[in-house]
Parts: sequence; structure tokens; C-alpha cells
Amino acid sequence: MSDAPAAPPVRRHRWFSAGRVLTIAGGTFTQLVRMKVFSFMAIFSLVVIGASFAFADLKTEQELKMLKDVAFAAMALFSMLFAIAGTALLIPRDVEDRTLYTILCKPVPRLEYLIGKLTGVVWLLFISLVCMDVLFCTVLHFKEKIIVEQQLEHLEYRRFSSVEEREKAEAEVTELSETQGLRWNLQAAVVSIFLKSVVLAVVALLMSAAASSTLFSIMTSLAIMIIGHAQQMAREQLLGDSAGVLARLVSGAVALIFPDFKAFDIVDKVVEGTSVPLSALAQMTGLTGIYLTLYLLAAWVIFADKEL
Amino acid sequence: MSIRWKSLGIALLIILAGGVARLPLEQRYTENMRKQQLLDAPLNVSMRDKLGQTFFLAVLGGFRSVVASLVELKALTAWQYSNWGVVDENYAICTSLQPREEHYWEFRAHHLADNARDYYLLNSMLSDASRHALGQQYVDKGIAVLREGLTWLPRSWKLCERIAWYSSMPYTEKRNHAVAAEYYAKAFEASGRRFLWRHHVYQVARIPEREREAWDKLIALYEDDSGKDRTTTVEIELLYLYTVRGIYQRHPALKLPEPLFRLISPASLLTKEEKARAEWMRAKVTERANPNAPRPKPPKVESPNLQKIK
Repeated sequence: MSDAPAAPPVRRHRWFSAGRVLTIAGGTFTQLVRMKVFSFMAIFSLVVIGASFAFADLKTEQELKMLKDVAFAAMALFSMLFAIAGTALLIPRDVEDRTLYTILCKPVPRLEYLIGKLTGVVWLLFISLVCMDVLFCTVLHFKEKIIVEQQLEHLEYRRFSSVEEREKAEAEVTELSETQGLRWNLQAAVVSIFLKSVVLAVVALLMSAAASSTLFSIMTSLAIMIIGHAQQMAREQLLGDSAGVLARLVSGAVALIFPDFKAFDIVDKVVEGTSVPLSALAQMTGLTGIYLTLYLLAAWVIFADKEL
Repeated sequence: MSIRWKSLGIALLIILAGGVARLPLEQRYTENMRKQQLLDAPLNVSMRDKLGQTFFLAVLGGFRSVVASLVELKALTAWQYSNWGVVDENYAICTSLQPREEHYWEFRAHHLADNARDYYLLNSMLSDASRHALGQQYVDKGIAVLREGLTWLPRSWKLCERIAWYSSMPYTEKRNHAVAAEYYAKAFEASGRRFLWRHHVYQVARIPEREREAWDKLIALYEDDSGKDRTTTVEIELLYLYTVRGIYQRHPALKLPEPLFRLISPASLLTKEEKARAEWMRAKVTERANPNAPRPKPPKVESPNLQKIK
């Protein structure tokens, strides 16, 4: 009997590998980070800190509301821009750098490539939103603390005409920190912004898979985002009885093709102080899952057949 | 790179088929979220004219709260110029955009029923009749705004409290203590804050037909175990009902609590401290009985905090 070493076991190629997807996602994330996308944090910090001082003349409630409004608007805007521009850039850049050919000449299915790219963008969105959220919560916490302290000090010096007047002023200060201050509920708004950006990213991926021009992908994704905000109106017109045939056709096309971006707009309600139950967030996540599956499948069908 | 049109067609078919499948799900989700007051109904076309194209697009894009805040800033500019029509118009947009934001209703009413009222009441360019008519018109408008706000926020104690105040304040010519009592009671019911219940009782005490009810409620406050509800106003109201309104004549069973009864006893029976307190209470009860009588000037007292403030 010879002592020849046994041949290594033949590893069968799996049609889907999470490891490969994660490798592509990691590469995508690094690629995006190298594009210096995190320098936006400087702008975001300026916006949030500026907003915390800019409205000091307003009534306390307004001041905190304004800070939350500005911060959430900035978060939404930045993450939407990242989702669209970041995703639309990826495939054309990979073609330009020839990275795409290096990856696809290996036994990497195109679906894995797309999922990897999308996961990389989603990581970037998640990390950037976490950074923005931490900064926003810190500023809001200190602002709230300063305002409540000022209010309490004001109560000490103020002359009240009755006990009731004093109790009312105290109740208002208590309510201020309860409704307008830093609460867990605010995180629901951040989650909704994240989910909306993820849907936007998959739409941009679909456009990027279909078109070869970055500019075209960005412009069409932006257009889809705008139309998607009116999808709810179109859907209700389609399901209602009042619309004519032509209106039904147009609204039907809008309702069936585009995602409903309005479904994620709970930020205003969170700022108002409405509590968001976990079940609502779970439903929103479910809806995101449906969009993700649908548009990713469409992107794969186009990309699988694309001559590179 | 080229795309095959066949694959594009298949992709479109997938999206359309998926669209048909997700349509009822999306609709159910939207209805559910609206039921939980997490999503708003779409804006109507008239709002587009009021907001202008840029703001309308921003609202459509999910920036409703930011737009409302910016419109409020516009209202504050109009307020600086005492342009009450524009102030109301801008706040009306805010309340339409975010009808569940309590602060917009409260401020819209405040600008109308306080600021605009004072502006007209103190306007020397107007005749006396016009000043009063315009001032009252704005108070009524403010109350109407708050009532509209309550249809959106029926559990808001602040809006109820404001209606009660504007209905009973000294600056309105249509003082209605019954309405004020009703809204203070609603505010208490919504928040459970005791000072609102005391306000309700004080208002009931001002309605001549409900003096007996007021007496019972005042006694309940006076005898409160915690002692927090035994305020000076409660004592003044009890003394007022007993001595000025003579409630004991119509209801002989009613008895003034012992410590208060001592205050209306002959001076010879009182200690020095009690005498001083009795005198002060008597002055307050007289003031309560004649609210329009000229008040004596308070003595000049330097605030103990003055040094601190400086």
C-alpha cells in the first residue's frame, strides 16, 4: 500500500453562498467608504447643531419640534441620496474598473453579485443612519436638558397669581420633556427612514441593472421616488369608483409598477408624539421585504441576461 | 453591454404580477396605519394652491412636519407686523398639515384670542364700539379654532383648558361660566390634573343656579386628605358663598368648616394672627363680590430675587 496523501475532498459548488454574498458586500462597503461618503457627517453635524441654536427665540415646544423636524429631514435626505447615488454608481463603476469581469468570471452567480452589492449599500445606509441618530439624540438630549433647566429656573423667579397657575406651568414643563424630549419612540422614525432607503436602493439597483449610464439610473430612480410618493393616491383612485377609464388605466399602471413610498412616512407622526406600536414596524418591515424580493427578482432577470 | 428586450419584458411582467398581488396588502396596510393615526390621508388639491408648488412637493415627499414648521415661521413674521389675517391663514395651513399637533391649535387660538384681541381693544384709531366688537370677534374666532382642534384631539387637556379660560376670562364680553366649568371638567377628565378640577369648581361657584353643587364640591376640596386642594381660593369661595351669597339661608343644614367659621366670629374672640388673617380674607371676599371695584395699590416690595437676577 502506498502512503500517498489522500486527495482533498471535492467541494461542490453551491448555487447560493452567503459567504460569497458577504464578501461582495464587504467589498462594496469598502468601495463606498473610499468614496468619502462619511464626510457628509460634517454637514449633518452642522445642520443639527445649527438647528439647535437657530430657533432659540421660539417657544420651547417649537424649538424642540423644529430641531427634530430639521434633523429627521436631513437624515431622510442624506439616506435617500446615498441609496440612489450609491447604488446607481456601483454596477457602472465595476464595469469601468473591470472588477465586474473579475468577479463574474469566477463561479459567482449574478444573483449573488446583485444581493452582495445591495447588502453593501444597506450596510452603508445602516451605519450612516446609526451615526446620524447618535449625533441627533445627543444634541436633543442636551437641548432638552438645557430647556427644562431654564424652564424650572424661570418657574422659581416667576410670580404666579394663584397656585393653579403655578401648577399649570409645572405641568407644561413636565409635559414638554414627556412629549417633545428624547424618547424611544423617535427610533421608530429612524427605522422607517432606513426601510424607505432600502426600498429606494433596490429600485436604483433595478435601474442600474437595466441601464448602462449612471446619470440615467440616478434620474430615473429619482423620478420613481417622486412617483412612488403619489402611488397611494393612484391606488386609491384605482380601487375607488369615481375615476374614468383613462384615469383608471394611468393610476393602475402607477399603482402596479411603483412602490408606495408614502407607506414609510411616519416621521411626522413620531414628531407629533404618536406612539408607534411594534406591530406597525413589523408590518412596515414586511412590506419592505415584499418590495425587496420583487424588484430584486426583476433586477436579476434583467442582469442575468445582460451582455457585459 | 446590451440588454435583451425579452428579459426587460419578463422583468416588467414580474413587477406587474407582483403589483397585482401586493395591491390588496398595501391597501390593508395603509388603512391599518391610518386607523392607528400613523399615516395621513392624501392632501386635497386646494392645499396645493395654499402651499405653492415647492412646499406641496415637499409635503408629498414626506416632509409635512418640516413644511408646517416653516409655514409657522412665516406666521411669526406676519405676527411681528400685527397682520392677523395672514397669521391666521398661515396657522390654518399648519393645522391642516398636522391637525394632531396640539401646539398649532393652541398658538393659532392664542394669536387670535389674545394678541389680535388686545391689538384691537387698545387701538386708539378705532371708535369704542369698533374696538370692542373687533376684540370680541377675535376672542370668538379663537374659541372656534380650539373647538375645531378638539375634533382632532378630543383628549387634549390644554385645548379644553384654553376654551374654558377664553370663555370665562375678564377680557371677554360674553363670559360663560357654565361653558368654562364644562371644559375645565373635560380637561381634568383627560389629564387627571387636580388644578383643573379646582378651576372647574371655581367656575361652578360663579353660576348662581349651581351654588349648592359648588358648595359640596368646595367642601370636598377643603376636606381633601392631602391638603393640596385646600387652597386660599377654596376658602375664599366658601366664605363668599356663606357670607355674601348667604347660602345657609336657603340650605340651613350647611355648615362652614370650624377654622373658617372662626374667621367670621367677632374680633374679640380671635387671636392676633387670626385677626390679621380674618381681615385679609374679608378683603379678598369683598374683592370677589365686587370684581370691578378699584383695587388698593399693593405695597412696593423689592423682590428677594432681585439681587440674584442682577
